[in-house]
Amino acid sequence: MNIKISDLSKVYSNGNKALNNINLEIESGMLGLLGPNGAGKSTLMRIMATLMLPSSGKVTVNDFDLVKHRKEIRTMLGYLPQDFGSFSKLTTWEFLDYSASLAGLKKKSKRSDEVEKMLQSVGLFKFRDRLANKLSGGMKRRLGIAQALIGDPKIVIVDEPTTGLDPEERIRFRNLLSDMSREEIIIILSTHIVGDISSTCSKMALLQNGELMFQGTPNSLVEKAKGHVFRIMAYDSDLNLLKEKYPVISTIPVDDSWEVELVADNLNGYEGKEIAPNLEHAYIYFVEYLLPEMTSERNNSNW
Amino acid sequence: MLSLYNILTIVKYEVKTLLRSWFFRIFSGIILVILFLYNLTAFTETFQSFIPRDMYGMTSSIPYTNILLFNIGAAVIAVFLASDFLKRDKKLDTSEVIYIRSMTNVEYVFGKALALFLVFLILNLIVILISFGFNLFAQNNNILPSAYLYYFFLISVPTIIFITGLSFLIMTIIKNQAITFILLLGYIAVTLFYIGSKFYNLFDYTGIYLPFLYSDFIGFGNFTSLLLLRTLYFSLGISFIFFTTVLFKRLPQSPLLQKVTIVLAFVFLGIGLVTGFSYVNSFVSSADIRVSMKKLNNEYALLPRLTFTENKINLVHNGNSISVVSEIDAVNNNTQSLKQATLKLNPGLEITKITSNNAEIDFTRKEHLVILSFKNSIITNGKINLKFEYSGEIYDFACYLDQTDEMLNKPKRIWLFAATNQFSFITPSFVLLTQECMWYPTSGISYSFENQLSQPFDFTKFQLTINKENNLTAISQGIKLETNEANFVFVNDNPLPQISLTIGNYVEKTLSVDSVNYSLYTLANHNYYEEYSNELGDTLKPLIRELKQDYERELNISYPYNKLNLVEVPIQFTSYRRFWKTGYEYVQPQIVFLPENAIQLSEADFKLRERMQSRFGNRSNQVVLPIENQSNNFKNFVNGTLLDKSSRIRFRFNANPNEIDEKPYSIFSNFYYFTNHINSKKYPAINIAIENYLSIAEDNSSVGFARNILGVTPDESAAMKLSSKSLAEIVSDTTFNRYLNSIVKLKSKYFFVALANEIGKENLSEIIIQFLNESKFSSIDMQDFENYFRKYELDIKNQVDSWSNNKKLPGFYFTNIQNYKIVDNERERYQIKMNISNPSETDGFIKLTFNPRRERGGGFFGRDNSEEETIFEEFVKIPLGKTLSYSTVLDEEPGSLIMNTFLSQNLPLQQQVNFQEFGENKKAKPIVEKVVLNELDKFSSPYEYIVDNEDSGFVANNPQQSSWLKKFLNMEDSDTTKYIGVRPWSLPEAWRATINSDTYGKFIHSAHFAKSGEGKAVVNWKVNIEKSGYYDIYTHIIKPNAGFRRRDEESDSKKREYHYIVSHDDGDEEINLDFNNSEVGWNLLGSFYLSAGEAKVSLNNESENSVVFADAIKWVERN
Repeated sequence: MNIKISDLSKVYSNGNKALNNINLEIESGMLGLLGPNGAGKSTLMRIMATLMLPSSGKVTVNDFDLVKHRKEIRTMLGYLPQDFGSFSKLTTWEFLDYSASLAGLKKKSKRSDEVEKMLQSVGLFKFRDRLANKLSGGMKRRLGIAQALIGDPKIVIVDEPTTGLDPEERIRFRNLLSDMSREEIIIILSTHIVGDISSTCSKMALLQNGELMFQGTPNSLVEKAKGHVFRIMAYDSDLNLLKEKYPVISTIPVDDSWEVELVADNLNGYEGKEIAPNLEHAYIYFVEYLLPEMTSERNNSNW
Repeated sequence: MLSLYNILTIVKYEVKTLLRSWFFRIFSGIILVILFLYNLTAFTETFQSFIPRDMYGMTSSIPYTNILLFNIGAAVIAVFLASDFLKRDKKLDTSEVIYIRSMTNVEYVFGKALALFLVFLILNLIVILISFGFNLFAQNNNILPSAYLYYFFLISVPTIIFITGLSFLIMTIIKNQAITFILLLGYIAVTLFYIGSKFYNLFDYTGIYLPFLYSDFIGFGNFTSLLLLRTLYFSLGISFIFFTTVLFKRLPQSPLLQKVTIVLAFVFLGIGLVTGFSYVNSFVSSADIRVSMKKLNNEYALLPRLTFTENKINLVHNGNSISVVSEIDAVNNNTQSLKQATLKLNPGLEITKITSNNAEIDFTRKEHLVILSFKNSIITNGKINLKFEYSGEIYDFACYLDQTDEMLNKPKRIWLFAATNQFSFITPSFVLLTQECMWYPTSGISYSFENQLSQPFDFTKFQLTINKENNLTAISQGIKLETNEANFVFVNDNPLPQISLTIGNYVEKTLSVDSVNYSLYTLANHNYYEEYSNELGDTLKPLIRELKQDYERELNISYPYNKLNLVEVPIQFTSYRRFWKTGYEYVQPQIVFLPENAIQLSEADFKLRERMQSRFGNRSNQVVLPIENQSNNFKNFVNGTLLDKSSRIRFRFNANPNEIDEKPYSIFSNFYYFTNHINSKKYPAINIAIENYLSIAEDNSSVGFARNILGVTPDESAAMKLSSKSLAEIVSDTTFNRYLNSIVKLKSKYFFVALANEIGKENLSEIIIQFLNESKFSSIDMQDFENYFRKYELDIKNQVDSWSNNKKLPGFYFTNIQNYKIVDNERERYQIKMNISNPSETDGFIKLTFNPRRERGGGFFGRDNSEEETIFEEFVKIPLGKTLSYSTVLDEEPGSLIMNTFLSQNLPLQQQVNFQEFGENKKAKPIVEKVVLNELDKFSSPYEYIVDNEDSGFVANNPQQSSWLKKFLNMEDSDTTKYIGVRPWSLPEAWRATINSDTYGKFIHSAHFAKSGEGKAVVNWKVNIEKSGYYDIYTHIIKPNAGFRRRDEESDSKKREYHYIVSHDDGDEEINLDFNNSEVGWNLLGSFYLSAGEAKVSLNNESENSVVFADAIKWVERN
């Protein structure tokens, strides 16, 4: 499976430019799409889910044009939207059966097996007769992923799936996604939670203000932050100064002082210990230091 | 391409979703419960004796009622469900998991629409099962399985599809459920309650006004028309669903399919528009042809015509058409030779040949007219035989040119049902043809504006031959001979003005009484009446004899034929009151066409009447035997339906004024219209006048009920029209057609009352009877009629001329009315004296009727004066410009005096005086005299000024009260007549005038009235006072005998006041008049000093009474 996004832009009727000249190639596996709120992630997801037309550019899925061959592409799709609410008058089983039917599982016995398997895998089998709107938030989200996965889709688009979930549900959800990613399918996970990507994705892309600022593996992003993450012990009087000067990632009180983790190009006189960066550190470093540089360079080159 | 699998998947889960919706469950539950209860009430034996037969009498009643009522409910629920469907789609994130599936928008939207349809289909099936169950167990209803299918496909399916499509589309465009609801519910309300059956029912998408009543004779009768209209809604619904698909907020599966969808949306829209156009066009083109026919009639109206003396008709019935050979003997009765002759034949019948003595005759066809051109002129009294060969079908639109298109197109309403109006039928199993549909050639034109009161009229000797068909019975006038051949032959001994033909699968029941054969023809299973006549047996003959003899005695005419057939005909068969006769086409010579299953014949509602009779019997502790019950019901039926006698007033709200109190099935036409005729070009009204004179139909003109509803009685309405125009002028002006029957009736009554005054009632009756007997079965000229009056030296020609052309009406006022008790030969007697003045320019007469005193008649409906035993009555003549001093003495104390002016400037036409106590005057001698005084009595005193509400000094200031919505929907009170009834349930907020005997007035006794309110509606009486001084100011109070009166007077002890403002020299002063303690008549408001100049009294509508009356104010100068 291969998705190729070329020069993709989306301008809304109010003039808001949601996507600007995106170029991205996605292979089988799980791609994490990271970016702050309003970065254009959902717009990109909706375009790829055939719910919205791009203003310009092209998306191909295995040589099928997303605009011209919606029918073919839709047979490959599974989609979990950001605010999935499910259909209130259908039971969990019925809703999945409905999704499975529309996903092309015409044979009743096969569909039934598939629905059961899917409910088992998301841990909802014992709730199969419960009305979908009576499920908890996490259960609903699991039902959502179940409907997205039913019918053996080749592309699964998951938009902000863990938002609002408690840690246990979030971990369960991440594990679910990880299990799926072992198959030969493309999973696009849009999120603004870095932990979702670090724990599930082999590749990632970073969107900011509608532009693709990074694509690669999470490790390559982490590499960029090496030598730029420090741990400093600071007193109260210094803490506010540090917060003003550097992006602080965490502050933990230790006795009468604070253990502060921050990212910085250099510490400028502060004494601190360099520590190994994780994806969250890398994301902050990228957004706070590298991104402004890239933007400035691009502006200068345009000039 | 479309995937049926996808559609069915969507349908499956959307149906589940809908069925689990509480809204749907509650509403459908309510509808089903209502329908169940309705069925229980209307269609089971237990309750049917409490409800009118119209509700359940037709075979199709059960499926029609159920599917129609369900359909209205479903139309409303569908709006909610359809718009709710798409509202859920607005939660895009949820719906998007479905939208990304590989399916087309058409599949999705049609899946949803089908789901909705399926849900209603399920409900519909439940309704059908319920109604079918009732149908199976209801003893009086036959089962008509096809009706269930017809109603489902013609009523339910198009409605649901249309409202679903419309709801989807509006919701898709507006995207706001609340606004969509308001718009759609508003649309439903406007189409149901405002547009209704206007514009040929075009906007009736629920089908509630459409003529869906199914006849056991002929089915719907207008199936093509219904199919066109319902196809319109079905196609529009489908088109709207396609448009919804196009506008649907989901990227289409493929651009090609999107284009196909757009094309399909327009294709279905086109189908809808074409069917709609065809539907409307069928009415419009018929209307155009009718206009052309009327023009032709006017054009040929005054041309001389042949008289047809004999017509031998040979008719072959071929399924949906007829082939006819008609051999006619004609004579030229004109004073000039005829080179051309005009006759009429239905335009749907194509003439193949017209011959005379085997030689073909040239003819021209212009719509219904056939213009024959003779090679040799037909001289005066010259005869000719004509043979017509023609075939085809009957075009109903050629009938009833005297009626408006609106009237013809407006379906007949029967309870919840509607039936189309049809005037003829030719189907394989049923034929009904009357002269109105011109199925055989008749001489001259049909209805013409030129001569509204007299249509071409020949007494023709008919012979009719019809081919026999399996199981079908033919019914027509004359003796039926069943020849050895395959024919029925009807032979008539006497010439008749018209014949009819009915062929159907009838069961005949015949009874011969005193040489008259009475036959009843009904469909085989239409025998509900048998249960209510099974006890009659041998008593039937004497009953019929008695009824016939009573009627003949009252009319003073014998029934002229030896047979009378009562024939059941399809419910769609319709006739209207004509201007030139009192009868309807339901009544033909020797035949009465009764509606299918006796629907709308309240006297034939034997079940209801049987229960009522038993109940009345129980009340008076009498046991009513079944035979008594049945014979009473039979008598009521004959008297109320077939004769002119009825114990109740036939009255319908918003009825055509021409049809109020008419008896459409009365056999009266057999006694005059079909047997005698006076032919007068100059005075065409004379024939209908005689018919009116002979008719013993009740005179309802004085009934308070009519006034309370209408404001004026039909007679008063007619008198108002005649106040400035002569009868001749009114007849020639079609704008008066709406009132023409009432006008002619009133004029006829007046004419013969005047004649009776002139020569005596008995003599007049003798002359008329002589005329009837001597000219039976022939048409005589006016001159011959005049001769009958010669022996009384009465020049009736002048009378008729004056009657026809006189524009002047007499007007009377009554003064100095005195009543007192005297002692005459030791007997208490009652003296009444009064002066009656006639200041008009024409003589007049009045009938004075003294009625006994009775307890005050309560209630809104008042009492019918005609039912009352009178003490004494007499006619008095009052010459123009004179006063009659009238005195009489009665042995019994009268309670009231009715002064019937018949036709005058007075309103009401009948003035009523209620006598107070008769004071004793022991010294007075009885005086009985009528003295004509040359001086007119003074109506008012020289020392008083009176301003009545009819005077120019009276001004009513009405507050602006119309709502914009009412204006927008044009729902303002459409009653634009000058006088309206005082209806307690709909009192006007603005001041309106009403007529009442108790009010002040010289000729017109009227008052203004308004619903009580905040006092914003004000009336002013203004007058110019010539001399300064003290004046007593009086107001004229009335207390009408209406439903609210008792409530206003007696419900509590609260003071009820009228608030007057009297303007006098010290300013304006409010005077509160206690209504409870005031008297009918003049009541003193007070004495005030007034300077010369304008004096004014005001009254506003603020009162504790429900209604405030403003009549007259009187200023009386103090000595």
